[in-house]
Amino acid sequence: MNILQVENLKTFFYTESDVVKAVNDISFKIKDNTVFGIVGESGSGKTLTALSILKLLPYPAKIMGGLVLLDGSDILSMSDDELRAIRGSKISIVFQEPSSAFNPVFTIGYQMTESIFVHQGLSAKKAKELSLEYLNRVHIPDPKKVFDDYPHQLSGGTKQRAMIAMALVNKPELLILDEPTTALDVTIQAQVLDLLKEIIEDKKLSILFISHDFGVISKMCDEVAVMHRGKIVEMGSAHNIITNPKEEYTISLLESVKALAR
Amino acid sequence: MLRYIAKRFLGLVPVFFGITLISFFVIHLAPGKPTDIQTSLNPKVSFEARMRLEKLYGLDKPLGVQYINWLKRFLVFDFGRSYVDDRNVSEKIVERLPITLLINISSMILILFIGIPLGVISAVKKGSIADRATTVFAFFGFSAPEFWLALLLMNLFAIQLGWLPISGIKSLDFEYLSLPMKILDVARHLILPVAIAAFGALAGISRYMRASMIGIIHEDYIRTARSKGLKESAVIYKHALRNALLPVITILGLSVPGLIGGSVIFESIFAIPGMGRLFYESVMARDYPTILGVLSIGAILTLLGNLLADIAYSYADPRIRVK
Amino acid sequence: MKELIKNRIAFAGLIFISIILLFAFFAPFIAPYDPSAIDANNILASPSLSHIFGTDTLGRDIFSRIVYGSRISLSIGFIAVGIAVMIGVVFGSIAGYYGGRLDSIMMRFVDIMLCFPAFFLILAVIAILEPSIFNIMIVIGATSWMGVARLVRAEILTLKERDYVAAAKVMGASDARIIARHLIPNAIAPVLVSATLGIGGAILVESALSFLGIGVQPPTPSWGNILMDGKSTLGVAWWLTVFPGIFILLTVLAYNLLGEGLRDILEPRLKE
Repeated sequence: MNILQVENLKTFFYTESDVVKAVNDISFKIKDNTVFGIVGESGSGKTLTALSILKLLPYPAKIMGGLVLLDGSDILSMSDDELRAIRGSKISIVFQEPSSAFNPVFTIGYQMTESIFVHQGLSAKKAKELSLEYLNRVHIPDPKKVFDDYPHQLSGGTKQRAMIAMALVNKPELLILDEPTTALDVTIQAQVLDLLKEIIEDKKLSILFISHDFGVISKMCDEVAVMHRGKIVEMGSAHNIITNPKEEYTISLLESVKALAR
Repeated sequence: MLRYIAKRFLGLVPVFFGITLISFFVIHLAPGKPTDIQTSLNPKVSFEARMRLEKLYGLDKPLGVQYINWLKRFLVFDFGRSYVDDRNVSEKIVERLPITLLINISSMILILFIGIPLGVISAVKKGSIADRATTVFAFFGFSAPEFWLALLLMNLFAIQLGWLPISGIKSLDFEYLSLPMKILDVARHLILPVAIAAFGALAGISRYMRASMIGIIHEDYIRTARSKGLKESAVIYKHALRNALLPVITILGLSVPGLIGGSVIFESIFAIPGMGRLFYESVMARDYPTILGVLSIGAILTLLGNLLADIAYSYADPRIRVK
Repeated sequence: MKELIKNRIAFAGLIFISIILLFAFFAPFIAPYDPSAIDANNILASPSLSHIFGTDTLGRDIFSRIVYGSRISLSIGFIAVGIAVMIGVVFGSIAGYYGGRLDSIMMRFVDIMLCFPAFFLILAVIAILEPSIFNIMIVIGATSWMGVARLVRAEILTLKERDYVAAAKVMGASDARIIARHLIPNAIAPVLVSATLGIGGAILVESALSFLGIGVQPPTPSWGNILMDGKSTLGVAWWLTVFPGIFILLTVLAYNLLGEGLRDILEPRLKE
C-alpha cells in the first residue's frame, strides 16, 4: 500500500513580473513503512513539494494542478477543517531551522501539549506525561527541565530533537523531514541522524526525507527521487541510484559528494 | 524578576540626575539674571518676591553650589513659590496632578484597546477595505493638528448638538449629585479631551501594530504552528499576536511624554484644571518656579512611565525575563 | 525616483508639497490681498467671491494670510528639522563610531532628553527666551534630534564593521574622514525618512505653539496663529478655524505620505 501518492503536481510562484514553475509536474509514490528521499540542490523545488503536500504554501506560491493522495484520500480537495485535522496528526513535518521553528514566547512543553490537545484531546496531566515520554524517546537528557524551558535556552541539537518529538507525539502515519540536520553542527548531525534511524526501525512510520546531501540520503533512504529545477530527473531504489546513476545531473550530484568526501 | 526591576530602577538614578541637571540648565538660559527679565517687566512681582527668588536660586553663589542647592530642593520636590499667587509650587502641582493623570491613563487605555485591535485587523485583512479604511483613518489621525480637531469636535458635540458639556470637569450642580451621577458627570466632561488626546497616538500605534503583525506572520514558527493543525485563529491571535505586541509595548512607553506634553493643549481648550493648564498659565505669566516645577515633574512622570513599560516588556518577553 | 512615481500615494504627497512650496515662493503673486491689510468694514465676512476663505476679526483676508503663512510655517519646519538632523547625525555618528564609554554616556544623555515631554520643554524655553521665529526654529530643532541620533548610531554600528571601513583605516584615513565620507552617506536613508516625517511634526508643533499664543506673534501670519482667533469665534465664523486647519492637515499629511513612501523604497521589506 502506498501511504502517499503524488501525481503531476504543479506548484508555481506568481511574482510581479513573471511565473516561476518551482514544482513542475512531478509524480512519485511512497510505500508504507519506507523512507523516501528527495535530493536536489537549493531551488530545485524539494521544500515546496513538501509544503504542497500539506498545503502550507507561502504567499505567492499556488498549487496549479495535480493530485496528492494520502492513504487514498485526496488532500488537495480537502476543506480547511479537514486539512487541519490531518496536519500534525496524520502527517507531521520537521523543518530545517530549529532556532526559528519554535515560538520564542512559549515553553517547549506548551507548544507540544498544544498539539496534543488539538488532536488527542487529553487532559493537561496526560498530555504532559505523553510529552515527557517522547522527549525522553529522542534522548533529551532532562525532559522535565526542557519541558519548562523556552526555546532560546536550548541548543540547536536539543531543539531539533524536541521538534522531532513534537512531530511524533500524535503518532503520524507520514513524517516529512525537510533538511532536518542541515542547520546543525556536524557532530550533532550524526547524533540526530542516528536518532532518526532508531525511530524508523522502532515505529511503523513512513518518511519523506528531503536533503541536498546525497551522503545523508544514502544513509537513510530506501527509495530516492532526484529533483532538478522543479522536475524529477531520476527515481529508483537508493542503492541503484547511487551505484548506477543513469542521468547526467544525478552523476554530477554524486560526483560532488564524492569530491567532498575525499 | 524582582532583581530585574531593581536593576532597572537603579539604572534610572543617573537619568534622574540628568533631569535635574537639564532643568537647572533651562532656568539659566535667560540672558542676565533669571530674576531680572520677569521681575522688572512684571508688575505683579513684589520686591519681596524678587529677593526671595534671588535667594532661592542663590544667584550670588557659584554655579556648582547653586546646582547642589537645586538638587537638594528637587529631591524633596521643593520648587519654591509661584510668582502668581505666592503659593507653594508643589502644592499647586499636587492639586492638579490627579486630573491630568486620570486623563492620560484613560487615553492610554483607549490607545491600547482601540489602537491595537485596529492594527491587528488591518494586518490580518491586509489589502481589504477594512485595512485601507483603517490606514486612511490612521494617516489623518496623526497628520491632523490635535487642537484643531479639539475645536471642531467641541463645536460639533458641545455647541451644535449639545450632547456633551463644553468645558471643565464638572457641572455646576456637581455637589448635589449622587455618587454614580458624579462619576457619570466627570466622565461626560472627559470624553472629548480623552478621545482627542488619544487620537494621534492611537493612529500611530495601529500602524506600528500592523507593521509588527505583518512582519511576524512570515516567521518560521507561524508556519510550524499551522503545520501542527492549529486553528487559524489560534495561529494569529495566540502565536503571532504575542510576539507582535512586544515592540509595541516599547512604543507605548515612548508615547508617554507625548501624552503629557499634549495635555497643555487639551486642558487649555477644554478648561480642565490639570497640570497642563497650570503649565500653560505659568508660561503665559512667566512664572518661572512653576514652569520649572511642572517641567521637572513631567520628566519624572515620563521616567516612571518608561520604567513601567520596561517591566511590562520584560514580563512579556521570556528572552529578557529568563536568563 | 522612478519608484517614487510608481508609489502613487507618496507621489501625490510630493505633488501637494510642491504646490504648497509654490504658494510660499510666489506668495506675493498668489495672494489677492496684503495679509496685514485691515479692513474694518469687512470683519468676519464669510467666504465669498472677493474673499474666498473669508476674513478674520480685523477684516484681513484669510486666504492671503494662509498663503503668506505658508512661508513661515514651512520655513520653520525645514530649518527646525535641518537643525535636528545636523545635531542628530553628528551626535549619533560619534556615539556609534567610537562606542564604549563615550557611547554609553552619549546615549544616556539621549535617554535623559527623551524624558522631557518635548512640548513642555519647548514651551518653557520659549517662555524664557521670548518667542521669535528664530528661537522657535532652534528650540524645535534642539528637542527633536534624539530620534535621528539613535537611528544614525544604529546604522553606524552595523556599518563600521564593513570591509571598506577597515580598508580605509589601513590606508590611514582619519576618523573624521571615515565617518564623513564612508559611514554617513550610507546611513542617510533612514535619516531621510525621519527628516521628511519630522517636517510634518515640526509644522504641527509650530502651529500648536502659535495657537497657544507663544509661537509666531501676530501680525506675522502663521497657520497656527490664524487659528488662535478661531477659538473664540468658532460659533460665528467657522472659516477662521476650518481653512487654516485643513491646510495644516493636508501639508502634514503630504509629508507623512512622502515619508512613508520613501521608507518603502529605501527600506524594503518582504514584498507582499
